[in-house]
Amino acid sequence: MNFIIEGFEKTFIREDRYKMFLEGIGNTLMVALFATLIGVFIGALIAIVKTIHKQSNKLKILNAIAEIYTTIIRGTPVVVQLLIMYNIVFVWSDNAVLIGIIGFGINSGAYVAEIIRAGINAVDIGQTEAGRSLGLSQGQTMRSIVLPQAIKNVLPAIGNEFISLLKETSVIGFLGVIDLTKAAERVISRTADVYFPYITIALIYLAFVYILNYFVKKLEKRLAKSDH
Amino acid sequence: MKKILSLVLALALIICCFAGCGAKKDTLTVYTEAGFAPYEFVYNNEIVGVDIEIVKAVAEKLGKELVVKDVKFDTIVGAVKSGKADIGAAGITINDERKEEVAFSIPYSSTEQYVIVKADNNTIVNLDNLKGIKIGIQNGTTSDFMIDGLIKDNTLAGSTIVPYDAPALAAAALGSKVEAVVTDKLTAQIIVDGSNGAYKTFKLVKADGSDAAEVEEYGICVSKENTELLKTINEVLQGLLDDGSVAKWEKEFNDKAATVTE
Repeated sequence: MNFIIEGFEKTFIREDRYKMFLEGIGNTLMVALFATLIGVFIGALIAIVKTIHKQSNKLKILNAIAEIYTTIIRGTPVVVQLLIMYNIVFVWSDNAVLIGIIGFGINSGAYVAEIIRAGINAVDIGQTEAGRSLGLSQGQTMRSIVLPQAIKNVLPAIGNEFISLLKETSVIGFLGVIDLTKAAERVISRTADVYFPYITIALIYLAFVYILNYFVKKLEKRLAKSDH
Repeated sequence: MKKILSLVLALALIICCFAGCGAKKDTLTVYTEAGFAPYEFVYNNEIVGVDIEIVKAVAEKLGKELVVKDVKFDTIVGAVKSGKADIGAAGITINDERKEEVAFSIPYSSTEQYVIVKADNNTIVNLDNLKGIKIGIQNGTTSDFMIDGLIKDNTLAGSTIVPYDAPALAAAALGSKVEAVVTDKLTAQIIVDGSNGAYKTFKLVKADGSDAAEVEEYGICVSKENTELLKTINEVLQGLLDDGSVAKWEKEFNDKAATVTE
């Protein structure tokens, strides 16, 4: 019992260390959220380019770029990508949070692209044909007929992407961002007590994932309902 | 399509501008790893320590705003070289290999290698006893290089290094993942003082009692091109050494780190 009280006191109370954990939660959530937004933006662009190329063989150059991008991003570890971003691409900046957001956003984009592409493919080709025969251009058809339905299909999957980013960002301490994991390590570097900090952050991650999962499930149900 | 393209370009531009915010001219960016008391550690959620006091004095002299970043120790010298950081101040031992990459200030402190073991361990008392065991070490530090060298030249045949981000993290693994931790003198003493008698520490010596390693000196590093900054740092450091400030801070932060870690 003493061990628990003492561990708790030294991990959270002493020197107001709980503030470090709060800062960590803030940074973890912020990086995950903005990275997801960038990921969705890039992913949507890539998915549209690839789909248009497949349907009409246009946008050859953009499609080639998209292919290279997905190959590189999906073929290298995210930590390596982050280190390259931080130490080589953005060597003139030390805004680690922003570089982290961009790095994770670019990484996430490659995966979200596949999600959105699947969403677009799931929209019946008859919808596109109908749009085209009504005189809409290919771009207009994509924008006002296919994409709205595709986005509805993939919203839960994007929620899941946010959830996995929330966990993946735990490596961002590499760049010196005080995220949840780094906060725990900072405390341990003072107390040399590993139990409380690590178990605590595990529980915090778990709690966030559990809550977010609940909302994603709810969203899935809502969206399924309106289909009928 | 043009619209989308211009949107992408605009976004890219905005991101570049934002990221550029980090590269201001009126700031002095210092890289450190805040897990190395008394030189740098987190106290009341702030990074404090001897190195921090020194760079504060440098920033004051230059009339610049000080920005301290807590990064991985093994990336600090590289970041100083690439210009990402103006200064690296992390109890960095001056050695030839690092001198090839960056320029060092005059030494401001010296240290020796110490070993931390569990208090009830009576088998490990000198360098020979480190043979064939697992040794916990802060990644990229001189302790790391030294033990690594001793393993390679077979002085410590069969030993393995278990790398950690901070000496205290390595100490927390004593008795489970590692049997001994090697780190710098003051850091070792603070960890032992804070362990409620769970650990003890001693100077790393050979079996015949002679020194196992040379005395090391800490320096502050800057990019080789930044001779102006180096000159200022040396002036400030000389002043702080002459009036006894560095020695005073070493004691002050030693006490601070030890009392709250108890």
